[in-house]
This record gives sequence, C-alpha cells and structure tokens, in this order.
Amino acid sequence: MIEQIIFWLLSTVLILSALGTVGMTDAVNSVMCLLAAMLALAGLYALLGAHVVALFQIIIYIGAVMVLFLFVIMLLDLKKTMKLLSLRSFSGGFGVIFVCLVGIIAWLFRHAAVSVTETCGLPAVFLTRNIHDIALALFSRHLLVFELASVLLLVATIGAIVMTRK
Amino acid sequence: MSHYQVYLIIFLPIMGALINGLMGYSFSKRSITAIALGSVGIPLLLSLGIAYDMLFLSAERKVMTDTLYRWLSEQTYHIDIGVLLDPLALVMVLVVLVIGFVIHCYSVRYMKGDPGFRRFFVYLNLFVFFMLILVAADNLVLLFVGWEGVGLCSYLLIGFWYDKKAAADAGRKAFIVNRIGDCGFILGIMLTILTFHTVNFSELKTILMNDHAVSTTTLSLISFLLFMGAMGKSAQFPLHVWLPDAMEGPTPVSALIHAATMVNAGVYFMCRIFPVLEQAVHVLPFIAAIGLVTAIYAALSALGQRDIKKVLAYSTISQIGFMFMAIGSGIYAASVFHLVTHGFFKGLLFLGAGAVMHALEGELDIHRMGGLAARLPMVTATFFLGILALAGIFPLSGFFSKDAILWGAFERYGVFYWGMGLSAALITVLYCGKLFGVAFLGDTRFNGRIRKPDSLMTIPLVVLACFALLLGGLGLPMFSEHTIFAQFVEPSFFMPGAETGVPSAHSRVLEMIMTACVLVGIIVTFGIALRYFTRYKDTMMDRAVTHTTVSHLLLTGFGMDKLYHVMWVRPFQRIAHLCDTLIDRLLIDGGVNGTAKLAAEIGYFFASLQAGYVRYYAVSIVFGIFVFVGVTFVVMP
Amino acid sequence: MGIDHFIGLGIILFSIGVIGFLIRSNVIVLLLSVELMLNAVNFLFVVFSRFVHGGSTGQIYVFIIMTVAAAEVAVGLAIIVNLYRRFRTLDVSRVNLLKG
Repeated sequence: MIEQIIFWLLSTVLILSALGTVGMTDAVNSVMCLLAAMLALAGLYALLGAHVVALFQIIIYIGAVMVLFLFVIMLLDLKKTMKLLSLRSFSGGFGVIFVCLVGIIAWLFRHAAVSVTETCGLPAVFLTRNIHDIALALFSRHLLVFELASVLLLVATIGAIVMTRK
Repeated sequence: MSHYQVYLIIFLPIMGALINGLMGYSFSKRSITAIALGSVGIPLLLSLGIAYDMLFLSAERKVMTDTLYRWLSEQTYHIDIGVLLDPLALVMVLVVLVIGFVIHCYSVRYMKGDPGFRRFFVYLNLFVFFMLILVAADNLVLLFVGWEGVGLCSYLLIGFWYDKKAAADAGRKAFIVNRIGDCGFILGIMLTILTFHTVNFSELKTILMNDHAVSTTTLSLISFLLFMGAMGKSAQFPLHVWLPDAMEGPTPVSALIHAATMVNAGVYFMCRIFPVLEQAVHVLPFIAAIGLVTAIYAALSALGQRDIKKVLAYSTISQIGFMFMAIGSGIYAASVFHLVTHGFFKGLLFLGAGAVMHALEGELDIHRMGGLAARLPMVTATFFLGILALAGIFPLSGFFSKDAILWGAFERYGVFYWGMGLSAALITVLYCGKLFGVAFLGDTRFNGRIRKPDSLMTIPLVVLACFALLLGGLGLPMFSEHTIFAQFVEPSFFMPGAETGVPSAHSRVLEMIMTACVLVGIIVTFGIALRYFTRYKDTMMDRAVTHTTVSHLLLTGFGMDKLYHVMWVRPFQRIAHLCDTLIDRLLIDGGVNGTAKLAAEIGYFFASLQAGYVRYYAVSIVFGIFVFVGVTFVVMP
Repeated sequence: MGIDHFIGLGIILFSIGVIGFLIRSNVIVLLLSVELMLNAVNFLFVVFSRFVHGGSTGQIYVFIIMTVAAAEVAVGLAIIVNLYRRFRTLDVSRVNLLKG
C-alpha cells in the first residue's frame, strides 16, 4: 500500500522535474531540475528492488555527471548565471522537499542487504539478491562489455582533455 | 598484250602516290619528281606497247577483258572488279597518260617554289590512277568508283591552296555540283541492276543486241539518269557552274583535269553505254539539245570574260557541248575524236596560259596584258597553234573533228540544227580571236618584269603543239565514215544487228560544199576578230564600259551563279539557321544541359537537407525512428 | 500497479526528453534532454529486468549505459566549451557553418 503512494509521489516529482528541465530558460535551473529528476529516479530504482542501480545513479549521475555540467557552465563564464541567486526566496521550500526525497529513498533501502521475496506489493518474480548477483554476473558473464566500457571511458577522458586544451 | 601489262599500267600511279604520300616527307625534290614521273612514264611506255600490238590484231582480239575478282554478289546479279580494254579504252588511256606525263613535266617547273610540292604530285598520281580505273572499268559500278575518285582528286587539287578562301569554296562547289549529277548516276545504276540484272558493259551489249523485253521508257529513263551524271562531271548546262570557279586551282590542274581528262569522262561514259542510248529514242535528241545549248551559252560567256583561265574554262564547256552534240547525233567515233584533239589543244592552251601567268608574276586579266608576242615568242607561237586548232582552222586537228561533228549533226537533225552548231563555232572563233588579239598582240599594257619560261616549261608546250598539228591526220580521209581514227575504234562501237552507221543519205558533194562554207566562215570571222581586237582595243574597253549590261551578263555567265544562289543556297542556309536555333540550341542543347541541370538540382535539393542546424538533424532522427518503428511493428506483421 | 504503469512512466519521460531536444535552442539544455532520454531508457531496462525473465542482465546494461552516458557527457561538454569559445554563443540555431 505504502509502496503505491511512494510510487505516485516519486513519479510526480520525476515528471515535474523533467518538465522543468526542458522548460526552464536558465541553463543552471535546468541542471538543477534534472538533478531532482535523477533523485526521484533513484528512488524508483530502489522501489523496484534495484538498489545497486539506485546507488550508482546517485553516485555517478548526480555526483559526477551533473557536477561536470555545473562546472562547465561555470567555466563558460556566462553573465546570466548571476541570476541564479534571485531564487533564494524559494530555497527553503526546495530544501524541505529535498530532504523528504532523500528520506524516502533511504527508507526504500531497508531491504537492500537481504534477499526479499516481495516488494511493493508486486509478485516476487525474478527478484535477485541484488549486489551479490550483479557482481557475480558483471565479472563473469559480462566481463568483456565491462572492459570495453572502461576503455571507452579512458578514450573519452583523453578526448575531453585534448579538446578543451587551449 | 598480257593482262599483267594492263594491271601494271593501272597500279603504278597509285604506287607512286603511296610512296610519295606516305614516305615522301624526307625525300628530296629530285626523288619525288622521279617517282612521280616514273609512275606515269612507265605506264605510258607500256600503253604505247599495247597500242602497237593492238594495231596489228584482228578485230575480235582487239578487245581484252579480264576479271580480277568478284566484288559483290547477290542472288540475281553480281559485280566484279575487272578490266575491259578495247580500242576506245586504249585511246582514252593514251590521252590520259600522254597529256598527263607532259603536264607532270610542266608542273615540275611550275610548282617549283610551292611548299606543297610533294602533296601536288601525290594528288596528281592519285588522279591518274582513278582516271585509269574509270577508263578501264568493265562495269558501271567500277566506273563509278573511278568517277568518284577523280571527283575527289579534283576537289583536292582545286582547293590545293586551301588557305585561300576562294579556292576552298571552289573545291567544295565542284564536289557538290558533281554530287548532284552523281545522284542521277546512282539511280541509273540501280535501275540498270533492276532491269538487266547486270552492270557489265559487255553483258549489257549482248542483252541489248538480242531480243529483249525492256521497254523504251525504261531505257530512256536509265539513259536520262546516267546522262545526268555525265552532265555533272562534264560541266554541261545547267550543272556547269563549277568549272569556271575551278580555275582557282593551279594551272597544270586546270590543264589536266578540267580540259583533257576528267571533264571528258562524261563523254567516254556515254560512249560506253551507247547500246542503251541507241535504243532509248527519246534521250538522244535531248542530249543533242543540251549539248547545243551548252555550246552556244558557254561560247557567249567566254566572249565576256576577262580572266584568261576563265575564257579557257568556258571554252572547254562549250567544246564538250560539241562532243555531246556528236553523241546526240549518234556519231560516237567523231565525238571521241574531238575529245582527243580537244584534249591536246586545250591542254596546250592552258599550259600556255600558265606560262604567261608565270612570266607575268600571276597576272590574269587579259586587258592588262598585251604585246606579249615580242617578249615571249615561243609561248606565243604555241599558243597561236592552239588557238587555230580551237577555232577549227584547216589543217589543224580541231578542224577535222569539228567538221565531222557538224556534218553528223546535219545528217541526223537537219539544217536548222546545223545552223545553230555553226553559230556556236563562229562565236568560238570570235572569242579565240579576242583572246589572242588582246593578250598577245597590240600595245604592251603590262608594266613589270617579264620572266621568260625555261625549257622545262616550253618543251611540253612544243610537244602538245605538235600533237595539235598532226592529230588532224587521224581524221583522214575526209568526207567518209571510215577515217583512220574511226576504223581504229570501230570494234568498240560494233553492235551487230543494230543500225549504227546510217548510210549517208546526202551526197558527198553537199558535204564538201558545206565544209568549205564552214571553213571560209571561220577564217573570215577569225581575221575580222583579230583585226578588231588587236587594233581597236581602246575603243573596245570603252564599249565595255558603255555596254555594261551586256558585258556584265556575259561576264557572269548569264547570272547562273546568282540564280543558283537564290534558288538553292539561300533556302538551305535558312534551313540550316533554323536547325541551329530551333533544333540544335533549343532541343538538343536544352536536353543535354537540362539533364545536367536536373542532376544539379537534385544535388542542390539533397544538399539543402544539410542545413547546419542541429535541430533539423534531430527532427530527421526522430522522424526516422518513427518510420523504422512503424515499418517494423506495424507494416511488417 | 503492474508493469504498465512503469512502462508508461518511462515512455512519458522519454517523450519529454525528445520534445525538449527538438524545441530548445540552448545547447546545454539539449545535452540535458539527451541525459533525460538516457535515464528513461535506463529506467525501462530496470523495469524489464524486474518484471521479465532475464536475470540481472538488465541492470548490468544499465551500468554500461551509465558509463557510456558519462563518457558522452564529458565529450559533449568539451565540444560545448569549444563551441562557446568559437562562436561566443550557446544558441544552436545561430551555428550553421556546416550548411550545405
């Protein structure tokens, strides 16, 4: 029951944030909205029982990619970014929402360490002991893809460095 | 008289032409001359040998035929490459080779400084080769090969100095007018094949000798078509317009081709097909009429010319008109005799004119010459002999041949026709006198240095003058059909079972009286003309100014060139212009350029898809996704 | 709450990303829309791995997609930096030098 409420709540936040991403005029505002969308998405992942993915979403997407976006926007030295500070009046409300979201997600992680047979009122079909099984699969069956992805990351890193050199 | 001699005669000139043409770039002038003269001289000796043989053979063996190989064959007929050498052909061969050799020698000096020396002799040898093919051919088609070949060589030689526009135009004009005649020739050949299923002269003669079912209408049509070809080649009215213009070529060319050999090809051709002509009753009078009209017309035009070579050109047209008058009257031997004599004295006259032009640094206008008798005695003497022969004064050769023609015309067509022929002969005398009197006698009007021609040019003149003097002997005995010449060519015109020689219905006495009248008339007219044109030259020039219409009419040959220009040339030019603007520019260029433009437009359209905007690309990607998904999930299942 | 709700959510998220990519002219927002689309796809992968037989393959692919997305963002932002340096604008409708 409660999972359903959480689902609808998270979905609403997600869609509203997505709309905000594509709708905001200021680039930094868009980035922030996307950040919120990713947070909600992480919650949905946790809801679905994919705790590892949720964690990775937060760490990689929010923590690295979005931060990279913000850094680059800052690097571009646009005059418009100064307008960001005018939203200060709403920051309290946003802060509250943010904390609530984090709390919800944290609560969703209660079943992470153990294998459960049922979550969110759904039939317990194909549920995995998440981290354990993913690790096993990643490093045995999908090893080649994993290695290739790491090479790709290396190439992209070198490329980005070369391209942005003056 | 073996076959090999004949083939050697025919093929030596082409060997000379090929050697000089393909390998002669580095030869010295001596070698080129030697090869060219040798390739005509050796055949000349060989043909003299054959002539000597032929004189002592019996009548049946005088005709030699040989077939080289079968050229074309269909189910109903076949065409061979073969040789027919009978007395008539031999006469022509001798004319070609003797006059040809003499003119080759003359040209060595005449063309000495010309950069196209080698080319000239190549073309001349080529011409001799084709002329020999024409003369020795045993069927219509091979004769036509030679016909076309001499036409080609004529074109090449008229336009020899091709960077002169007038010469190039004249060459083209000759070829095109010839072509019109050849149209008729080819149609005639086709009709002959359809009717007789053969083109061989001997076979034609055999068929026509016996009973055959061919109607006179068909025969008349064939004769008329073939005569059209002869009209074009022999420059008869109305296809004569090319010959005066052909004088743009070098004088030896005019002498050889346009006086002695090529223009006589039409006459020879008519003699070859005489069986057909004999039985086509409607055509012979037509030929005689054309010959007469041409003779009178050309004689009048010659009277009004100022250029020495053009006078001789119109004179040639007129004399060939006489030959066709003879053919039209059925006296083929007389026509051939006149052909031979005319070849020699006209060649002589042309070479003399060339010597005069050479001496006077290229002066052509006779009104600007005068009094050359003292300065160029040898040329004047030989030229005078040629003039006498042309006028037809006893005892030169021209008299015998012309007289035979007039008498034959009288026998066949009556006194009116004879009278017209006589008037043509008298006008001939008039322009002869004018030419000689204005150019050679009287006061000297030429200011400038006169170069005397050296022996290499005068010796040919002397040789030809001797022939002009002595050939008349072949016309003896007079007042009979059995002159030496006619007896020699008799086997060629022998057609048993047909009425060739009409026994003379009029008495010998009448013939003698008429001949005497003619001779007296000619001599008197000649004397008058000489005196008038020698002494009263200045008044004559004034008269020419006052009588401008008449003299202009005579000068332009009664405006034939202008007439043809308006009738044929201008409409064709209009059509060509129309084709250019409408079909060429609009349709074809439009089509081709339009195709290119279409391809370019398609390219531009596709290039415009690359707008450079990322958003366009994004839209096309999304659109592509929809298409892909739609096809895979909706259309396919 | 069956699989259809989740799929519907994924579709809506993807569509929002596409529309945003087609409509906006700010190049950073374009990149963000691409990220949104990638996230939607990730989400759908996880949903399918949860509701459809396949083991944990779906989640593994999610990792790979995240990796590729991170690499792509890095390179894309480098391009944006160069674009800004060259044209002094982030408006993609002003940049059409590759126009054919």
